Amino acid sequence: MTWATRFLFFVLGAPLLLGSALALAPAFTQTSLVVNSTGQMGQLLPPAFLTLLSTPGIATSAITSLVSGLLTPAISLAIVFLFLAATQGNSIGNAIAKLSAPVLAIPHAAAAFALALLLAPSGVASRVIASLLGWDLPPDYLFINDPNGLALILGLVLKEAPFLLLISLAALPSLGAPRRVALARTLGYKPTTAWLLTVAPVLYPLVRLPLFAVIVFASSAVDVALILGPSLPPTLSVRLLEWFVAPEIESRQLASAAALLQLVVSLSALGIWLLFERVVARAFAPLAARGASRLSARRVTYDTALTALGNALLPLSLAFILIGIGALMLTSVGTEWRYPALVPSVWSTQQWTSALSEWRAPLFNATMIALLSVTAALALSLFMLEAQARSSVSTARIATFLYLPLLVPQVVFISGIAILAERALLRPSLTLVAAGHFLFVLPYVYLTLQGGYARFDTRWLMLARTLGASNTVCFWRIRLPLLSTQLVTAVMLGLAISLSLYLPTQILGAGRIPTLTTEAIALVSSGNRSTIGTWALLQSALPTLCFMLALVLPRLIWSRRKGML
Amino acid sequence: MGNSSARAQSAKKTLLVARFAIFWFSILFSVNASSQQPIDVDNWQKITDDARGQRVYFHAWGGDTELNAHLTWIAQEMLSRFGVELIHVKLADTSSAVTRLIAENAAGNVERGSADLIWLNGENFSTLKRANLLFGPWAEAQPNFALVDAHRYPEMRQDFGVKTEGFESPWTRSQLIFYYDSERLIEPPRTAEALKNWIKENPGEFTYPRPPAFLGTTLLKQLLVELAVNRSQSSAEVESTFSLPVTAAFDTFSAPLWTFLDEIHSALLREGRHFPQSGTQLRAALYDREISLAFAFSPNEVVSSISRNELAASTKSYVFDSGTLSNVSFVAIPKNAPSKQGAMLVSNFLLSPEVQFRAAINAKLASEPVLAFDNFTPEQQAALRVNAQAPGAVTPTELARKIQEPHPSWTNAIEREWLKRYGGGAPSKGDE
Amino acid sequence: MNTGLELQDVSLSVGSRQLLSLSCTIAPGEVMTVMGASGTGKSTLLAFIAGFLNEAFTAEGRIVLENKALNSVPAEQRRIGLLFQDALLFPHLSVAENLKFGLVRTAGESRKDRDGRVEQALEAISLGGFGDRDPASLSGGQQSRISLMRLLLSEPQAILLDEPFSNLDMQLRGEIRALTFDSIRAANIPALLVTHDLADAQAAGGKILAL
Repeated sequence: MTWATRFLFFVLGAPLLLGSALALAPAFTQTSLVVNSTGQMGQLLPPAFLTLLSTPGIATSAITSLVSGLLTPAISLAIVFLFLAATQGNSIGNAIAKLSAPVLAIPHAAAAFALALLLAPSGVASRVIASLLGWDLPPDYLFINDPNGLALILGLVLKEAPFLLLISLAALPSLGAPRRVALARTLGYKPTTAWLLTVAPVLYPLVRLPLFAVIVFASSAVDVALILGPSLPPTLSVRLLEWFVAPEIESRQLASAAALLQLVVSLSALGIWLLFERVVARAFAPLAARGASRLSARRVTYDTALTALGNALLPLSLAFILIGIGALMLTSVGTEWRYPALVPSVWSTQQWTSALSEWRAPLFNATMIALLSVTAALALSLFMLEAQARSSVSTARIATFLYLPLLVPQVVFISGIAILAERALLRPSLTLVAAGHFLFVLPYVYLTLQGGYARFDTRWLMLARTLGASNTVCFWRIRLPLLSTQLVTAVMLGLAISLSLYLPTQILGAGRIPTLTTEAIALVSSGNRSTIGTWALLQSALPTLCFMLALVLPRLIWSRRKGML
Repeated sequence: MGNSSARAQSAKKTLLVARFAIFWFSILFSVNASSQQPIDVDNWQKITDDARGQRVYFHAWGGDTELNAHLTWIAQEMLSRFGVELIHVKLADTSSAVTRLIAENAAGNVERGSADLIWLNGENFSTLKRANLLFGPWAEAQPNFALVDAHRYPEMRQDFGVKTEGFESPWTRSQLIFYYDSERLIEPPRTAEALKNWIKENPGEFTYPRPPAFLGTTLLKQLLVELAVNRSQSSAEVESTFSLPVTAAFDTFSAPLWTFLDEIHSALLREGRHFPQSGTQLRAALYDREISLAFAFSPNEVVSSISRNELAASTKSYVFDSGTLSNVSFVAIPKNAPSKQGAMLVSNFLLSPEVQFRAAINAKLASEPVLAFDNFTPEQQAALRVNAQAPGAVTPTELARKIQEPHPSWTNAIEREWLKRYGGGAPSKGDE
Repeated sequence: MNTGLELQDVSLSVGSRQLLSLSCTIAPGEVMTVMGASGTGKSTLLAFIAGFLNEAFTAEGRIVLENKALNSVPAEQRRIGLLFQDALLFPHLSVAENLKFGLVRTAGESRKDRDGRVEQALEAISLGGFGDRDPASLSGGQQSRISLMRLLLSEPQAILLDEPFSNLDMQLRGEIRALTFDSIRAANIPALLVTHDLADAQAAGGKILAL
């Protein structure tokens, strides 16, 4: 192991492993108060596991988590690839892709709530239909919180598809897609099919790791599951959280056992996905080698259908979220909005004035934490990347380490880190929370910058050195300015991520460090629609601002240097 | 380069590694000895003096903006009158404060806890008291404690049947009330039996928050007590059973409850496949005409909601004929709280007639005062009587029909049984 | 007295395979050409001399410039200049800032003096007044001339040219080639040219080494 991997292991791996160990340990302790069944099994497993396995509906919970962990990435990937295949860099496609960035900025919980606002029986969609059909009372159907988790999957897909889209767009330029497609087209394939057969297979490996992060996230998401997921029984992650915050000691042990189960579920989802990859790879080649029977009607229909889907699905999902945000805005200023009214009947800014008077401390905390964690992540990433560039060490294995915090369910190791901090007598403070955020921000910042480093033309540096600049001067006057776009992107991405984190702030801050996100989610328990709408918008405002800045800043800075854009 | 410097190098390295290891081990296994002086709760003057300059972290549910504003005012007064800085830590759920306290104790944190004062009652209190994590006794030494008239109102010393023994001080009280949309419902059901029949005749018009959400469990307890009293010969026997910890008689006593729930399950909103998460979601369902009957653990619920446009003006509230559950909620001080004196001062201030009246007169707050009525001035009493006439309000006569809360262990037992029967999806008979 | 650039028993290998080996001396003002097919190690040779040898390669032999052995000297202190195929003007700096980047400071010189020197240099290549321009707004030929001037302003003691003219069209090529070689001769410094174009080698007028 090079020193770089060793260092990263210490910074990232140690807290993770220690945290997970401390969080999982209670599951293996003995307790006198847990009621368990007797028999063969009773002698093999610790009591916490027995209780867990005999909890009613635990299998359903686990399976729901597993299924959402598989369907979410599958559907998101399909939407993204179809979109890329159908648009292939035309102007409309580019415009829509640009729209995805601000959608990324909207925190998961806010997007989930927007969706609930749209599709609930008393929601906006139902009211539109009510005004058309003359309904008086809302229909009684179950989609939001449905037992199969469809609403949950939809809510996750709406956020993960733009994420995968942006990763794909970043990876595409190095593939020479237009040439590949052109070649296939000369062989008789229609454009969309051509892209899917020639570009998709080479693009997929480049988005694999982020996809794995999506799998783990989808199988262990908490905030979205709370708002959109089933409740009888809830997903495994929600149950875990419920047990974790329950005051009884037995519940704590149950939570640890459930955390282990959650790990198993997430890893199984990954395993099944890997199996699926093999199957697809095997089936793919014969499919592609079947040749393009020229202009057969069925092929043309397939292609047309795929193109239509590609052109429609992603814009639709973006529209969904944007309409949902609009609904959030309406709900935040409408104090009387009874079913089946389409718009509120009484408007007031009361929610906003009371929210804004309370937002100073959460805003300050959120900003400070974000700045601290991102600065640390930026400094560390630049240090490591620069050191590696100068010694030309291979960086491939580092990426795997970086994904560690994203591949272990948050709730599992954050609680352990909290215990670690307790033992070290570290009081819940801004710095401690920032340290927790740092673990999640570092991977994204590092990977964004690593892309910049990988694509960096080393001749710039050679020229600068021959002109008399030392390594340090090169770094500050050549490397950093030429990486400025990636730097801005990395910083804004890091800020947006830190601003929307919930569990780390809540657990490491012991509830003493309110941020916009914790306040928003704390108010979800109050259920008041307009309050939630207001805070969800507040929570989304900062990250969205960050993304706008990421787009606009480079243009502003380098307005007089066209070569930089 | 000689051998000696190489040896010095390696010695230095070993020392560094050793220091590092010691540091890490000490972090994992450190134990803190307490260095706090014992507090004399009877010397109130000294407590007031010591409290000056302290910072008190008050962990209390933060989901009610009205209550948050009330606490903000209290904080201002505490600072100007007593020099105590009160910080309201808004919790989504009181049990998270309990968990935090347990975790701190497990980690050996015995004098720098994160909470100085916690608002709690019921299971949360009994858990902490059993685990010996609370400071006390101190409550009855407060100057204002006499005002609650604990002789006349024994519930001031009892928390869900568990004796407080001075480990917590009363703050607010609350009661279960039912409310309905009078435009869609003329005559609401006023007994458990009537409720069951009404639900079956009007499917999709009723639901309850999913246990273990507090309000859902409360409905279950209400039904449990009322149905058991209906079945039994002596209501005194039933009362005494419920005030004691749950026994093997649980199955017999709770059987009517499960029969009741089984009968209404498929007639609930969403056919019982999904329940709202909280009382506020329940209220929103009524507001949006999804259901026509709801309930809340707050006598002022309807009045305050109407004033905030969260319920239609035609909403009315009432209490069941044979009474509804009522309880007192308290504030307690953790053993590892750093600002105990300040916390006691805050609690005493909360019991003052001034603060109790300010909360009582505010129809948007979800509580009744814990002070005996005659502790208020005649002007205050008149003002409170006027309040009781507001549209949607429950009359004091109705509120007088109170049922005591069962022992906390009944709560746990009921929640567990409900989850066994309905929590996994389809209703089942549960494990026998 | 300039003694030029000397390569003593230089041998480059990747793994166990030897790429090239040579010994030669390049006199001041002389342009030596190295020609060969791709993959024969020409660019690696330049990288070695300039001080950027990739870790995948091993090199032996001494580099001596102006009687100083350069093997252990860091790249920025070797006083060796590079010219690439592309002009590679730093896109975030203006034309003047590009020129000033490697400008050798003389004692007692003020910023105004330096600006004056840069302006003089621009006028010498008929680009007077172009100081504030964005490099991306210049034509290929203009960029090449500025790139060359940037190199010369750093007062190198030797120059390495890595196929510097192959991206230019026929018309420009002759012009820039002449300008480059004339400047090298005028500065009286040794230069090593790597190319696969025979016309370049002939215009260079020095020794030609075929790999």
